[in-house]
Amino acid sequence: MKISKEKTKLKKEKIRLRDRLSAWFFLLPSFAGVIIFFVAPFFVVIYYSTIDNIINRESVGMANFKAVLANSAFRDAAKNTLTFSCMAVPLAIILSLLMALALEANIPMKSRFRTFFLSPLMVPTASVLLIWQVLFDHHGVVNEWMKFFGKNPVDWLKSPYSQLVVLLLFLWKNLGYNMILFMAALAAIPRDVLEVSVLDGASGFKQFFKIKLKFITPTIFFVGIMSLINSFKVFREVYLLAGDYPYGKLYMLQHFMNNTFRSLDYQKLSSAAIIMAVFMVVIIGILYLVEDRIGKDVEDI
Amino acid sequence: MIVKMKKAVALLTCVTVMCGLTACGGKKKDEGKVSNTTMLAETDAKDVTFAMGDEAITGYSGDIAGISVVGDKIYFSTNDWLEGEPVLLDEGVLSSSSSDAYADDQSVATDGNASEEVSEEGEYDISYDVITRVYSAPLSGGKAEEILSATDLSDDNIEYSVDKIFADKDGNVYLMLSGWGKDTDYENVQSKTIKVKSDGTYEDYDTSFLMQGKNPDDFWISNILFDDAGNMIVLYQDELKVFKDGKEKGSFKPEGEYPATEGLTLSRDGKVLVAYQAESDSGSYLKISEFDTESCKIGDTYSAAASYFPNQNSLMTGSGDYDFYYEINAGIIGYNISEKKTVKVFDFIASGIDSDQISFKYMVSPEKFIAVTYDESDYTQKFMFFNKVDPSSIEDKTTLTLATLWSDDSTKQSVINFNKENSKYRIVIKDYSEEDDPMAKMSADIAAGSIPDIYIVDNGIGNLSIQQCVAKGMFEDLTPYFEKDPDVNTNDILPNVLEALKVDGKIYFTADNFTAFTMMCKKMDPEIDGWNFAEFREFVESKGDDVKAFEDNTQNGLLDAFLYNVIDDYIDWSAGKAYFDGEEFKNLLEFCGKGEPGELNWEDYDETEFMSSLKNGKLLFMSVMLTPQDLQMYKAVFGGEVSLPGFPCADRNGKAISLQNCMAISSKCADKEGAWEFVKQQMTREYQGKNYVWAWGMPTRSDIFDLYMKVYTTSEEYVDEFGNEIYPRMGSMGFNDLEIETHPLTAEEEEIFRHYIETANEAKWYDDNIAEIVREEAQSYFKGDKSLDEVCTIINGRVTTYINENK
Repeated sequence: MKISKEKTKLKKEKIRLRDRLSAWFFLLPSFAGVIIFFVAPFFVVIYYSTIDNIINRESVGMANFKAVLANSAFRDAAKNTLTFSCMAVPLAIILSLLMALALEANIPMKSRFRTFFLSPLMVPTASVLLIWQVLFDHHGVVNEWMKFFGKNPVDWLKSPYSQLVVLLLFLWKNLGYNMILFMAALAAIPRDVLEVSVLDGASGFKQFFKIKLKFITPTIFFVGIMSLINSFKVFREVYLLAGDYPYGKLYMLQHFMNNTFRSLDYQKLSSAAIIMAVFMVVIIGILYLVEDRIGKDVEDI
Repeated sequence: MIVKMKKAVALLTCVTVMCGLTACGGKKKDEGKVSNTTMLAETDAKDVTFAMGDEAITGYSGDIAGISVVGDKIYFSTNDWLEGEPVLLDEGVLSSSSSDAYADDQSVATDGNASEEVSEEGEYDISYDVITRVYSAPLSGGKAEEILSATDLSDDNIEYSVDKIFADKDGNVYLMLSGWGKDTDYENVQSKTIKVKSDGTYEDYDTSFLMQGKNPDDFWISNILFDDAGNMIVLYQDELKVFKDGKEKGSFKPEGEYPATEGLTLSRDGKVLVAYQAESDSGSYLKISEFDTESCKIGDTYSAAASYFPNQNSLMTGSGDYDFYYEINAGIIGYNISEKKTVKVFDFIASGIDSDQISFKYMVSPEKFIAVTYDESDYTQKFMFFNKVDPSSIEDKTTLTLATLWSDDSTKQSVINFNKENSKYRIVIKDYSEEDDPMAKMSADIAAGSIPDIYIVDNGIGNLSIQQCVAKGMFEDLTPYFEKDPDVNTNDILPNVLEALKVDGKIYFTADNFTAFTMMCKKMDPEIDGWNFAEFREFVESKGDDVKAFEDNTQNGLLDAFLYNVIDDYIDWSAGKAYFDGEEFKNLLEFCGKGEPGELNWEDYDETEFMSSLKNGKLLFMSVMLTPQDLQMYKAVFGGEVSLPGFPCADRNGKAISLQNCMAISSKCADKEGAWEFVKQQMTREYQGKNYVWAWGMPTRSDIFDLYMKVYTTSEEYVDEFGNEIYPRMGSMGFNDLEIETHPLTAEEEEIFRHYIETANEAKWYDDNIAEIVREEAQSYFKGDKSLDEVCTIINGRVTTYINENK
């Protein structure tokens, strides 16, 4: 009896080992991919940030971080990126939430509006930019309208309004996707809670702030984080619109990184990338903490 | 059961994924396999070293005119010049010694039945009879067998010379002859082909079928091959055609707006190979394709490690491990089709052979090639063997890499000489001109850690400007090397050049010659020796509205002229500041804005009007590269004395010089002393002394610069201390239709020139990124879209960002 128990135990362990091995076997390609394409480059970036340049490769400790933080090009780029994100993220959340609420209501042509708002996602960036150029060129459509109304034309992409042009593009491109996420979150709110609130005489305004907002908080944070990341990636649009060295307000952190990569200043690029990553981690960490605190009451329901 | 199903699903998934992978790189069958083998593996210099061996072919006479290799035989034709009796001329007037003679103002030698030479004194005329000979010889070497010896190819009216020679497998040789009209000042009037049979008899060969569908004035034949099936494969400059029995069987034309063929040969196993230009996003490159003479379609295709071939014989039949060979600027490459392997089998530099000294190369085996060399001692051409040198017999030397975007002849010669003379170091050239995108590739190599020991600095390195290179610590500071070297010293360098060589007070590169640029105008009163833009503008505007500053008086033309020469003046790299929003630049841009809109239409350029405008003061300036005798020519162009005020700039020092052949040592060079041994040679008295007569610019050493000036001031012939034969610079110089007689510089001219050179101490470095920003933004001002202040502020902001990024 004892022998058979031990045999069974051994057999079970064998099976467990085989399962574990086969699991590792299937995990291996993904694991190797993550190591090669994410973990290793991360350490390479850390290494580059601590050397003087790629020619000499002598360790300089934290000197590159100091130099980058003191570099006025980097500071301008960081300031512009931060300004853009501060405008873009709240607007992306608020406008898409309003759109989702509007579509949640019983309005005519609801599905057509949904399709309409989602369509920018399907349009390639390069073609969108052509339209933007036609609209916001010094001799573009917008300036023609302005002239019609007796206003002076503005070189939108080389003026203090340049970030607004890109902001408009950013919102146009991203609102649809955010809206879908909010619509899904709103649909997931328990109907009985909303019905009870109606019976209790809560106004639509009160219902939104006291119930809906709390239920969709995780989505708001998710949308916020995604919008923040996307706002940092707006470089692609700006690069295609205005090139390597755009008007001051449009010079973003990724311009700094892209240009320093081309000029083989990998130490600056890596330091800037790490500073940016740390900043992002801190922001996202704070957002998670806030979400954790606010979302607590919803979890209790 | 479930487990089995899971396994089956897993297996199916695996197979599906693998199928997906196999789909990568798939192709349509009729496209042929394209192997992308342009990457040339690094080879040890010892493995690609050849040395000249025995004379390959003997027993022939005359100058080699054409060569064709078929199988294991080499066919060639020669022009054998037989000197006739000298004929006395009457008072220097040419009289023909024969009915075939013609006159010219210099000695003339042409192929054909007869030609003549005008004696220097004009007293005698020597005639030559030309015998056209055709030989065959084994490729393995030996005595040449004469097939044809003809003196009667030409007739009374047309003189024929051998243009090309081809041979078929039966030993018949085809001579393509160009005919030159004796009564039409030797214009090319007619061509014909003769077929020379192996018994030495010959007959006219009708090649009209080769010209069908071709514009007679706009086509040429590069090569002709004959295969075993009796096909005649003809390579035109833009396509390949196959003929059988005089009828076209098929053709192949490379794609593209300007199709271009590059070579034709048979592979080791007898397949027809054609080389041609192909286009990619990054530019043109070379493809070599198999060509099926039956279906007349291309088959498998291979990419060559070159963007062009140096000559028409560059594609060669393979031997040993290689299916075919091809020549590139640096040497000869072997290609193995089955292994898709590209290997350099011969290197000019490693072998110490100047590629200009050998005119024909053919690989007999991977260890031997036959070439035609020119023997300067007896002025004869010879077929010589070059044999691979046993690597173990080659002296071990430290190899140093010299990276360049383009290796010119003087660099190659310097390397060959250094390698021959130096027992400790060997320089290997890494020539990026063979790459699709040389600048990007060079930058990528540096980023990847493949850092050369020595750089040729050409307005920077790769995508990096000089300032960026210095800021990154790419260059070794050469100041201490100059200080301790007994052969070269900074005191030897012209003070203005020394000043221009310095970046932040240090010398990072050497330069063996330099050129000077200036604005030139009619004599100014009072004389101006440097000015700022406000002064320049005042000067121009004081001359009236109908006066132009430059010939290209367009807005962009004016802007480019100033940008190219003084752009650096608006930038302070060390402080990270730009001054494009200052009054100086605003003045410049405003001045350019007054120019004509659009581009200069060169079709409207009127040479006569241009010259008269300069003389009558309606056109004020020319932007010129200055050499001593140019002063004399420009005096004639301007119709009087001239002034050299320099380009207008804030510090009134707009006299720019451009340093040439700049070399820098990498700060990561493992053997900096060795690299210095090579780099310093171009700064030595010996080197510059031997080269100053023929160099592009002026020598950078003070003592050699004095010798250089002496060349232009002497009125007597002499041999200088370096053995250069110096002749007084008396002759003629031309500018457009104007031709002037030059004379040795007067003391005043010498003084003007020396003064200009001595005070020109700004090196001209051009940053394209900055120029592009300025050009782009300036358009808004030129079009009237924005105010001057707005544009200058935007330019300054963008350029400041660029500068600060690079701080």
